Order: sequence, then structure tokens, then C-alpha cells
Amino acid sequence: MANILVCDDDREIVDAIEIYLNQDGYRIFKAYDGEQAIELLKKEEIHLLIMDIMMPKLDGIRATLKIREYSSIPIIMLSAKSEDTDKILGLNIGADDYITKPFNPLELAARVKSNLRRYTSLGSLNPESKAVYQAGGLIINDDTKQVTVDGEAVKMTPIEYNILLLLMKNQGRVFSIDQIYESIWNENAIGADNTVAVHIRHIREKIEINPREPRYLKVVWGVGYKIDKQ
Amino acid sequence: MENEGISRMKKPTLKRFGLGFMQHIFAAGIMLAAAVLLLNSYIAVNSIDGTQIYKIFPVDVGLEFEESEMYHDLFRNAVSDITQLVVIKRHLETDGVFDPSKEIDVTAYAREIGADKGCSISAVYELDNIIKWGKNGVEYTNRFLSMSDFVNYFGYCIYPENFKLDEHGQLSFDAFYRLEHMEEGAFAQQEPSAEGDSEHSTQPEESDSSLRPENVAVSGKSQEEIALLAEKLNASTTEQLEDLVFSHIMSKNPNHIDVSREDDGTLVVYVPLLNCRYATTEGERQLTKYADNWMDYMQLQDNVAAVIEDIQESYQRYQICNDAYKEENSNVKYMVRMMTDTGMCTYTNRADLEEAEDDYVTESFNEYRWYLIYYPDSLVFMGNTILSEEEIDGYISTYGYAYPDTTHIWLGVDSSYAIEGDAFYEANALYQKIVPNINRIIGLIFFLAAAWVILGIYLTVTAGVAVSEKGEQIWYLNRFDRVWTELIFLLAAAFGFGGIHGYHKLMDIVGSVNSVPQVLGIPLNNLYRYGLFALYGLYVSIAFNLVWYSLTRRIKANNLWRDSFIHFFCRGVENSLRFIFHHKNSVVSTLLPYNVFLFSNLAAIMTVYTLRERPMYMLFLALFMVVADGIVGVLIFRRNGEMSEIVDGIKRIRDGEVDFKLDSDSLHGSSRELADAVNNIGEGIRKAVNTSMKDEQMKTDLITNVSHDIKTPLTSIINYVDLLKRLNIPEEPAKKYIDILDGKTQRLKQLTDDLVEASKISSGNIELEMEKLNLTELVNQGIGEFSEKMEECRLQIVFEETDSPAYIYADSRRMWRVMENLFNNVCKYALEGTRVYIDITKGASIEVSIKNISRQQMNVRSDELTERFIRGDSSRTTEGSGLGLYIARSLVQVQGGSFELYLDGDLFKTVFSFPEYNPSLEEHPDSDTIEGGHSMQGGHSMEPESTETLKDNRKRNR
Repeated sequence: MANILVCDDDREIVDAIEIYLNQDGYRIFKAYDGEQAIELLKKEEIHLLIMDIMMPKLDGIRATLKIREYSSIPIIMLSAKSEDTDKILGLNIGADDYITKPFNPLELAARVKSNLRRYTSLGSLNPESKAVYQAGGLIINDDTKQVTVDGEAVKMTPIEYNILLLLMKNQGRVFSIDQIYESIWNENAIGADNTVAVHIRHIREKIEINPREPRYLKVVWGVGYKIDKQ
Repeated sequence: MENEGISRMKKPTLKRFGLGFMQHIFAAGIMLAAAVLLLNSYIAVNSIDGTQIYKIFPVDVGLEFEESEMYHDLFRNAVSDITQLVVIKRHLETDGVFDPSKEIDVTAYAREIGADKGCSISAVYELDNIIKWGKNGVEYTNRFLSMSDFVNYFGYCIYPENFKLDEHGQLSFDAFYRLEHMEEGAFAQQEPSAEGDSEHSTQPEESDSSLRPENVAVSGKSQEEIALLAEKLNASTTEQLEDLVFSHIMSKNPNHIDVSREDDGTLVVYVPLLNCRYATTEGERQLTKYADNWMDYMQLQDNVAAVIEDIQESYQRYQICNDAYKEENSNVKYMVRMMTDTGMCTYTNRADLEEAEDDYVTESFNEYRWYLIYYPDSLVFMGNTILSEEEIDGYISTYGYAYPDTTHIWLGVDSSYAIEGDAFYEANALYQKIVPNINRIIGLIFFLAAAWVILGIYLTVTAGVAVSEKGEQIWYLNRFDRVWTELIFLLAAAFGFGGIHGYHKLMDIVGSVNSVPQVLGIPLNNLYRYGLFALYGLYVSIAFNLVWYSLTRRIKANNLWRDSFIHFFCRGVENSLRFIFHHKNSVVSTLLPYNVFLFSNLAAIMTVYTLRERPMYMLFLALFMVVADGIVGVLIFRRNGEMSEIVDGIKRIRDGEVDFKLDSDSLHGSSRELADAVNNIGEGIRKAVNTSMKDEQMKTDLITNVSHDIKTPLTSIINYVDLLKRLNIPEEPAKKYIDILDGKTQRLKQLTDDLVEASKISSGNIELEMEKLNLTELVNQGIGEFSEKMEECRLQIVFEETDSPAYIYADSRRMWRVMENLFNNVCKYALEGTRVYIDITKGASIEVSIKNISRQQMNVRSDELTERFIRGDSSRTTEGSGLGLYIARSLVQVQGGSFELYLDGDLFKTVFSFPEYNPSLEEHPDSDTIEGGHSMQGGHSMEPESTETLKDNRKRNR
């Protein structure tokens, strides 16, 4: 089982996380500031690091920078700072994920799982088949009609599958509702209304950890939907 | 004056108009009543002295017509007429009938009327010839005679007898004594002049008549004297003697004869000789035949002219009056009886009494109510009129020659006015018509005048008063009252002038009683006259109204002076002076140099003109002036250029470029000062903006930090509540409590997030990523996102999609936040099982409206709903932070849209709109964003700061 280091100056939060992650079978190491975290990383074999930003002695940003000098383990930032700039900063200096406090424990567990899977199964993609499309942890295999997120299969209806396939084939391109409707249903889009939007929502609920903050299937509000290249 | 209140206050315009109209009607009524009085109070009588006009007024209402002043005036007029008529009748009639062939002895007639100057000869004409002559006019012919012809016109006259010696022994002409005439017919010719009492030539005539029987020389001169005179005569030249004769004639006949000296030195005499149109009874057409010298001739000629004139006039009067006072035409009865040379003459229009005895006549006339009996010889004067003896004496004495002392006069007026159409009848009719009603008419006039005045007072008191909405009295002015006061006074003067002119015209109309005057070619019958009176009344009333009420309103509103031209003028002068005084420096720096420039150029032009003879100097001076003017032009050009540079700089600073600095070193003079000042202001703004930005930043930071500090413990609370839930605690209440904790912690979390966001938006501290987006797409996406939540709430969304996309220019994530908040709002507050209508309409802008039926009764106003922390139920117990609508509205506004809420009973409607996308928005999006940012902040932060922030953000985004 994976070893996870949780680092936060608030002991109660660390304890709570320990409880949640223990339930999923992870082994938890606890640190209460950046220096402790770095020391523990050196002593123990750690597979994933959950770290707060605002901590005494050494804060999360500087600790991450130091860790990134020698380690590439997944780091999930867990911070009360919810500004876009904070998130961008955290992800830019080497964090793999960013969760704002207060967080949903289930989301945290899912993200931990996702990050671990990507970390351990990195490079496992089979590129010989042309019918396979990948975006980060999302893989769609048009031969087997299978969709996996972080290696885990996802069940989809045919329409959902077709929509996802369209977006995966044209990564980075934004499709409007009408465009999606016309290419999936092969009909004129008049009266398409919100059917596509509902389907997209369902897809997001299936492939995203937090549908409100999607990693793969992103909503460009007022324009359409897209899946970014990753 | 409260101008803003004018539209809302209640002006009693209609009422005032009605009262004013009544006033005018009263005024017209007054004038009509006056017209009734005035137009009926005059009577014109054709009397012997022409048309006379008699008035009823002044009148004593209690008196009868026969006692009135008018009656007495008419009576007086009748007496005057009849006394004259009798004289004329005597001249023109024979036995009471007009006699055209009556013989008129000219000199005798002239003497009777006092025109004769002692003429010793006469001529006789027939009456109708004289009348005809008078009609054709008296004409003269100028005769030009040489001196000797003139002197000897009636025969040679230079005899010693005709001359005399004055006290100095000088020879002078005495009179025309002619030996041959004396013997033949001088006696006869001298006779008529014997009775005359003319002063001149009495002396010689007396001596003449006294000496004649002794057969001495006619002139009364002794033989010695005649011999002496003959000697003197012989010693004198003919010219001298003629001159003496002429001087004598001229001294006696000052008029008519004129003398002038011709170019050759001879004297020419001008004599006007009467053109004898008709012959005398003797068949003689030349008057000169009756005279033997100039003096007699000229007097005879004058007499003829005078008689013609008098008879002409008398004949006209006779024509007028004779008929008028005939028995069948007049209520005035008269009888004049006198003893003359030819016996007793009686003139009367009572034929029945003509032959009666005096006593009987007197008795008859006594029967008249008003009568007059006058015997001058026996000093009897009887009568019951107010006419005194002196008055009737006055009338008679004018024609004293015609009224011998034996004259008896009877005069009476028939009070039954049996004869229609004469002056007394008409006057009586008029009097009976008017006088009994006079009190009523005057009463009516007074009543109307009183009503007019009372209305006027009321209107004056209430002039310019209006009642405002609040029920207060306020003054108002209408447009006419804004005109310069002086113009009103001018208008008043014009009205006054017109009024006086109109008054005179009216009085003329009143005066022209029986004739029909014409105004502008329209004959004025009675209807027109009354109309004119009424018009005049209207005119006066309206003119008075216009001027007086306007002045009253002005005085009340204290505007008399403020709206006057003098005030305007004074203010203008004052402002100019103040302006000049305030800009003393400009006087020195601009006005003075300008005048120097102007005058130096003028002087140079004049000098060049004077030097035009010397081309070298002229050329030099002209060149110099051209160069000097060129320098001035360059200086002005440079100054203007620098000015526009500064203006550009100010514009840039205004547009937010607070770091901009003008390069003051490159500028000159006052421009440099200005540039420095602008730089200082810019610097001040920059500092202020920075400070304000810092403050705002600090505020946002504070809120953000606080929210961080809240979030950390909140995380633990949420997590442990969640852990508690997983423990499967068996006690029911505990489960319920945990659920409550769970809900409240979630709400706290939401609240914290919203608070931070609201704070950031309100401080303008957000980044906008503006792009083109389709509102229809956004709404569809939103419906998709919320489809399940809506189903949970059993709400049905009705969205009629339009075919064409609705593009706007906005930040897509913020727009989603707006939609999300609105949808959440619908989920929270819409009544379950109802429909939610979403519409997109494209007009001047693109408008999205969301309508739903509220679950609970709204007890707030719609504008309060978008305030922070306000919710429809105002109890704060349900979920939500209360910031949703506030954030939505702020976000819409910050992106340049508008956001409104409508509450109609339970219908809750949200409308937000954006201008339709066009590429120019992408290039100049600032204005919209600035406005949005400004209004959104509710004025508690400085504008430039948010502008700056947004601008910076946008730069970074690009």
C-alpha cells in the first residue's frame, strides 16, 4: 500500500485526513511544518505528499521547491488560499494538484487515488493502436469502446461515448452545443436546446472527481465544451 | 423661483382666464352704456350760424325738457336765428316773398351793414344779379397805367383849385374840384355823401356847399390864393404835380393800388378794377362811369364787393332758415313788427295774426308755455324764459340798423311740439328717451365699473400665485413675464398712446351727431359706433390686464428689477469689469500687446502711405513690418501649439494615464507654468490613486486573510462533522444535530467564499477576461448544469431558443457565475411545481430575463434585493449567503451590462442586458467597463483606481 505524508500545522486536519485515508488503506505519515515534511521524506519511502501552504518554519511553497530538487513524487497542495493566483502559483512550482480548504474528504481521497495511479502507471499507454486517444489520465479506446480514467474503466451510454470521442479526437478545440448536436445526431441543430448540455454534465460526473472543477471536460461558458491536450 | 416645481404645481390658468374674460366683458359693457348715453345726448341743429350742437348734459334729472339747459340753449338759438332771419327777410323779400328783381342800392346797403367808408356815389343792381355774382365770385382785373395816365384817368385834374399850400408853403394836392363837373352834376353826386359822417374831406365839402351860392371858387379859395397856386403850379414840372396827385390818392386809398418803378425809370401803377359781371339797373356795365375820380371809384368798388359778399351769405342763411322757420315747419312761433320809412312791416310765421293788433298778438303769444315779448320802445319785456332783456338786446343791437325802436318782438314755442322734425321736437324726443333712463344707465355703469374693479383687485391679489403639489403657495411667472421690464413699460406707453388716440376718435364720433363719419372708408352707422365703443372698452381692459398683471406678478416674484434690461445691462457691464479685473494679468499679457500690435501696424500702414513718394524708405519700413508681424505670428503659433500639447496631456491624464508628465522644459512662458501645474495635478492624482488603491487593496486583503483564517478551523469542523456522520450514531437526536451542524458549516463555507468575492468585485479588484460569447449557449449550458437540481425542486424551465446566436462581449467565467447565482436563486426561492421562463430578446441590447413565481411572500423592495445580505424572506435562516444577487448584479455591471429586478406580487423577474457584440467593443472596451466599475462601487471608492486596476488587468491578460 502507498505511503502518504500529510503535512499541515493544524493537527486536527492532519488527524482527520489520516482517518479518511486510513479507510482507503493508505499508510499515513504526519508532519506539522515544512521542515518536518522534508525530514520525513528523506527517512521514509513516501509515495504522495499532501501539504498545506501556510505553515510555520518552512511554508508549503518553499518546501515544494526544495522537494522538487530531488523528488518527483505527486504533491497535492491543500490550502485555504482559494484565489486563482494561488492555485496557479502552486501548480507552477511543482504541485500536481491543488485542493482548497474546506475540502470534501471524498474528493481528497479520489484525487489521492488518481494521482497515485498516474504516478505509478505513468507511461503504460499503448501507443500502437491509432484508435486510442489520451488526455492526462483519461484514455478512450475506440476499438474496444472503453473509457478509463486513471486506469479505471468508466461506463458510458452510446451518446455520451460519442460526445466524449468527438472531443477527445479534437483535443483543444471548442465545440458549441449546436456543433456537437449536429455531429452526433446528424440532424439540424434547431431545437437541440439543452440535451447536449445535460449529456455533457453526465459525462463530467462520470469522468471527473469534482464535476464543478473539471480536469478533462471543460466548459467554456457561453461558447461550448472542450478537452484540453495534456 | 422654483422652476422645477412649475410643471407640477397647479396653476389656476383657466379660472384666471375666465375671470379676465368677465372683466373684459364688463369693460365692454361700461363703454356700451356710456355709448348709449353719449351717442344719444347730442343734437345737431342747423341754425343760421351753421350747424350747432347741443348737449343734454349737464342735466338735472328732475327737470322737464322745457326747464332744461338744452331747451334754453335751443330757445336762445331760435331767438338768434329769428332776429337775423328778419333782417335778411327785409333785405331779400318784398311783401314777405323772396323778390329776385328787387333793386339794391349798393352804397346804401353797404352803409347799412357798416361797410361803407363814405362813398359819395352809388350804383343799383338787381338782387338776383348780385346773388349770381356772389355765386360766381368777385373778380378783379389788374390794369397797368403810367403815372400820368393814372392821374388823368378820370380827366385832367391839375388845376390850381385842386391844390393848396401847407403850413411850410409847400405845394400839395387838396381835392378834386372840377369846374365843369360842378356846373353840370356835381350837386347830385355830392348828395349821397352828405349824410355820411366820414372824417376825410368834410372840410372842403362844407366850405364848398357854403360858398357855392356866392359864386366863389368851389374850393373856397380866394382869387389871390388861386393866383399864387397857379404861379406855383407853373413853376413845377408835370411829374412833380402828378406825384402830388398820386400821393393824395394813395393817402386816401391805402389798399389795392400799387406802384413800381420799371427798368427804364418810369413809374407804373397797378390798379385792380372790378370785373363787372352784371349790369346795373341802368344797363351800365362800367362802374367807372359812376365815378369822376379814383377815390370815389375805389370806394364804390369796395361797396359792391361787400354787398355781394353780404347778400351771398344772407341768401345762404335765408335758404337754410326761411324754410326751417316757416309756420308749417317749426314749433317756434314768432312775430316781429316794426315801423319803417315805408310803413309798418310785419314778419311772422303766424299768418293768422299778421294783421292783428299788438295786444291781441301779445295775448296769443301768452298762451304759449314759453314765450318772449319785447317792446324796446316802451321798455316792455315779458317772458318766462331765462333769456334776459340784455341778451335779446344784444341780439337785436347787432342788427341795430334794421331794428328801429318801434320794433315789437313776439316769440313762443309750442310745447305740444305738434310739428315733427324741428329742433325742439327732436330734442324733446331725445330728452324723453334718455333722461328718464339716465339714472339706470349711470347705475349700470357704476355697477359694471365696481364689478370690474373688484375682479381686478381679486386678480391682482391672486396674480402669479399657484399652489404647489404640497399645497404651498408659490409664485410663478409665465413666459411673457420674463420679457424685459422696460419692454412692458414701452408696451404700456404704446397702449396708453393708443388709448388716448382712441378716446379722441370716440369723442369725434360722438361729436359728429347727425353726419355719418367714415373710418377707413366704412360709413359708421349706429351699430358700428356702439361696436367701436365696446371695442374700446375691450381694448382698455385687455391692455390694462396684460400690463398690470404682468407687473404685479413681477413685483410679487421680486422680478421687476431682475428681468429689466437695465439690470441685464448692468450685470453685463459688471461681469465684464469683473472679468477684466480678475484677469488683470491677461490685460497686460494679451490685451496690451494686442493693441500695441494693432496700432503699430496701423501706424506703419499710414506711414507707408505718407512715404509713398520715397520708395526706399517705404520699402524698408514695409519689410520691417512684415518681419515683425512674422515674428508675432510665429510666437502666437508656438503658443497655440504648446497649448494644444498641454490640452493633450490633460486629456491623457484624464483618461487614466496618471503617470504622464508634460515636458515643461520645452515650453515657454505661461505655457511652462501651466504645464508645471498640470504635472503637479497629475502627480497629485497619481498619489491619490495609489493611496486609494492601496487602501482598497488592504481592505480586500484583510477580508481575504480573515476568510483564510476562518477557513482553516472551518475545514476541521466540516471534516469532523463528516466523521461524526460516518460513526453511525444510533441516537436519533444526535443524528439530527449532526445534520444541522453539517448544513450550517456548508453555509458558513459558502458565506466565506461569497464574502471574499463580493469584496473583490466591489473593490474592482478582479480580472476580467473579456471575450465574445453567446448568451443563448450560456443559458443552454446553464440549463444543462441545473437540469437535475431543477427537477429536484420540481421546476420546469421554459426557454424558447432563438435561431440567431446572441453574442456579447464579456468574461465567460463571470457570466457563468451570474447565471449560476440566478439559477441557484430560482432553485432556492421558486415555488415548487411552477415553471421558470427564460427569454432572450434582442433589441438595442441583448436582454435575458428570468421569471419565476416566488415561494414565499416577498416583503422587501426589489431594489433592496440586490443589496448585500438581503434576501427575500429577510430572516436569514435558510441556505444562501444573501450575496448571490448582489454578486450577480455587480458582475454584470462590471462587465458593462445592466441588471434589474422586478417584483410584481409573487412574480419575480430578473433582467440583465448587454450591448450586442461588435468588434469595436474589443478595441475600446474601457468605457463600458469603467462605467460598470464605477456604478458598482456605489461611490465609495475613487474612479481612477478601479479604472486603473481594470486597465492593468486587461493589459496583463493580453
